[in-house]
Amino acid sequence: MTWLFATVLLAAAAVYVLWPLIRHWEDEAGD
Amino acid sequence: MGAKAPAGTGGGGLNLITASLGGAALLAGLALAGFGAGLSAWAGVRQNAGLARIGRRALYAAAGAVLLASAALEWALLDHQFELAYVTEHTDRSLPWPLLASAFYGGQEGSLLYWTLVLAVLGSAAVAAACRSGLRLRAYATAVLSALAGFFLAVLVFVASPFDLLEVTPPDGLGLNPILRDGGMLIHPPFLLAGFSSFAIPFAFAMAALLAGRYDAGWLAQTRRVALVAWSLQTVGLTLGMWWAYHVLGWGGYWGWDPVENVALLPWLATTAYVHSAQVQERRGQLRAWNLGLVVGAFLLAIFGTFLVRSGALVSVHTFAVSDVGPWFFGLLAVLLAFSLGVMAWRSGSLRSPRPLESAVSREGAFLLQNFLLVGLVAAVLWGTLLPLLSGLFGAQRVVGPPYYERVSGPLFLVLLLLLAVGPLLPWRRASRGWWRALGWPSAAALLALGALAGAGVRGPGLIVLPVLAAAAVTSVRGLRPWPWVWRHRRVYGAYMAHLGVVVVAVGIAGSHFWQSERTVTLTPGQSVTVAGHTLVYAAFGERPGTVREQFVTLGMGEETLQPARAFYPGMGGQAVSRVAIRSTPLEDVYVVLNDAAADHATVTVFVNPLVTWIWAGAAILVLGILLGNMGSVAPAAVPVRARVAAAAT
Repeated sequence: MTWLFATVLLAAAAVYVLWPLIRHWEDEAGD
Repeated sequence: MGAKAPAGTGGGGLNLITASLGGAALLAGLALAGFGAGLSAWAGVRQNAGLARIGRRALYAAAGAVLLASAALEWALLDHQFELAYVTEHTDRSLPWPLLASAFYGGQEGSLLYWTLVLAVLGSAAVAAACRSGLRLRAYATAVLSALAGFFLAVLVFVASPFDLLEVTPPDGLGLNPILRDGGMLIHPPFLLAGFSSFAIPFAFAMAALLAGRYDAGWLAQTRRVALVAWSLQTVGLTLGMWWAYHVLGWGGYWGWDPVENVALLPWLATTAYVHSAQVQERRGQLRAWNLGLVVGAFLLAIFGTFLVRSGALVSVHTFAVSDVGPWFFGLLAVLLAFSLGVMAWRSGSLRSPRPLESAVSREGAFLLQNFLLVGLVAAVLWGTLLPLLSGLFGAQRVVGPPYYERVSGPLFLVLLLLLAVGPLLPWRRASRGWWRALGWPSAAALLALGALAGAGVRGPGLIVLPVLAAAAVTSVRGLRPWPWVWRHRRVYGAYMAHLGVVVVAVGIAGSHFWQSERTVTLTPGQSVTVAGHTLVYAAFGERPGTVREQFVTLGMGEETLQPARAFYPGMGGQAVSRVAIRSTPLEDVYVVLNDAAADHATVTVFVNPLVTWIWAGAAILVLGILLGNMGSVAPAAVPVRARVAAAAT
């Protein structure tokens, strides 16, 4: 169960951490 | 509190979820910190703002993960989840909830998690606030802080996890060490551990400055502020430790030169030196390498202290927190030492001061002398602390006690107090011919105090120390004169207030050290003992039954009564803990310890400790001064010191 929780937490954290990059890609796609 | 499964049946799935969630948060935190460290370092090298931003977010997310793990541990403690080994080893069902909550940092694994929490949260706040420090400096600081957080998370995941499960769930826990079952447990360890941990933040900014090749006013202001936060936390932690020892341990004193006390004092002394010498760099651009060395040294001393305490290498009253993390901390110390020395050697060329010291009789000279004295104190205390270890390697183990520390540190502290009287009156750069006229008031105060004390028949070291303190007090109070502009000049005000706090603390230490009275006596009902003019009459003996049995005696002192007691913990092998009775006034404490009692007799030790309350009051003034001096000021933009000094000169 620990690994399952860790994966979920990391996935959520990845969205937050990489958000500037995601926004950058979105902007590039919009252009 | 959640409903518990019947004792001994295994607890249920919900409790396992807490442990799994806590363990998962530590794993996620480790991955995020590692990623943040690598990416931030790369962002610094490439000077890439986008990568640096992602690196910072990884540190913030790691801090969030540590916060989640901490919340899981707190929940497990409060909910009596004895499936967790940590909960079983450090709590039981009889503990009130504040002590249950404080067991979070009462053992090795939990206190490491608390260390990591403070490091990650305060480190994130410092990085977030450093938006004007420049891209590279901020990125490197994030990298160093993330790497340090990653180290602690690795220790928590691989060596000392607070979320390890027991194979069989016991019906109750082993309980908290009786000495820790006190209100002091709620306040002393959090401050001291937070102080220790937060020395990492100025270290990270110092290393970042070296890596980025920037030693300007921006770096200095940033590092000085975070160093002051760490220093203030450590000041409060040390004072609360003294207060706790005084109220709980029952030996009449507050500082025993215990190895753990010593290692907590070392980074505090080094940072005290730094917060003063930083002003020389700020004003004159000098002592760059020295300042960096002090910041780095303070953190290395904090890690070294942590290694000594947690490895069990030294015997101390704090040995309840020992496990097998010693080699890890030794490894960290070796890596940090090599890394910081390597980076400082690499940058040594650019660390040279632009101008030499013009005159020894100057403010800079006073700061430098004060720094040498503080570093001397660090060396003396470190030597005394390490002597048992070092001598043990080469033959019979030698241990030094309080007489060594007092003999060595006493003269150094006296000169430091003298500098408190003289240093603030010296001008920057060089003193003019008639500078000594400024010493008129403090000298008059010292002579007046000397005459009054000699006239009152005072002899011994107090006759030297108190006049010096009188001079220091006058210098500090005169510094507080222009009252209407307190806020505008708050930094100067805060400094003088802090100095005044030090003087008040020193008066308390001198009073209780030089003029303490002590007497141990066995009394039968109706008998009395007189110590330093206080007569105590043995009135009655009593017992309070319960899970923790207490014996107490009632002593009459004039119209007041004092009730020293002894508590017996059957669950901890019948361990007895003294409950000291203290009657405090601003002038003296009457402090009574019950050594032994029965219906027909009681053996008590009575101490009369003059001026102890001044120590607590002085420490409060000291911290308030630091807070006032640094409240609300905005970190200056990164302007090179050389340029600023040049601009000021024109």
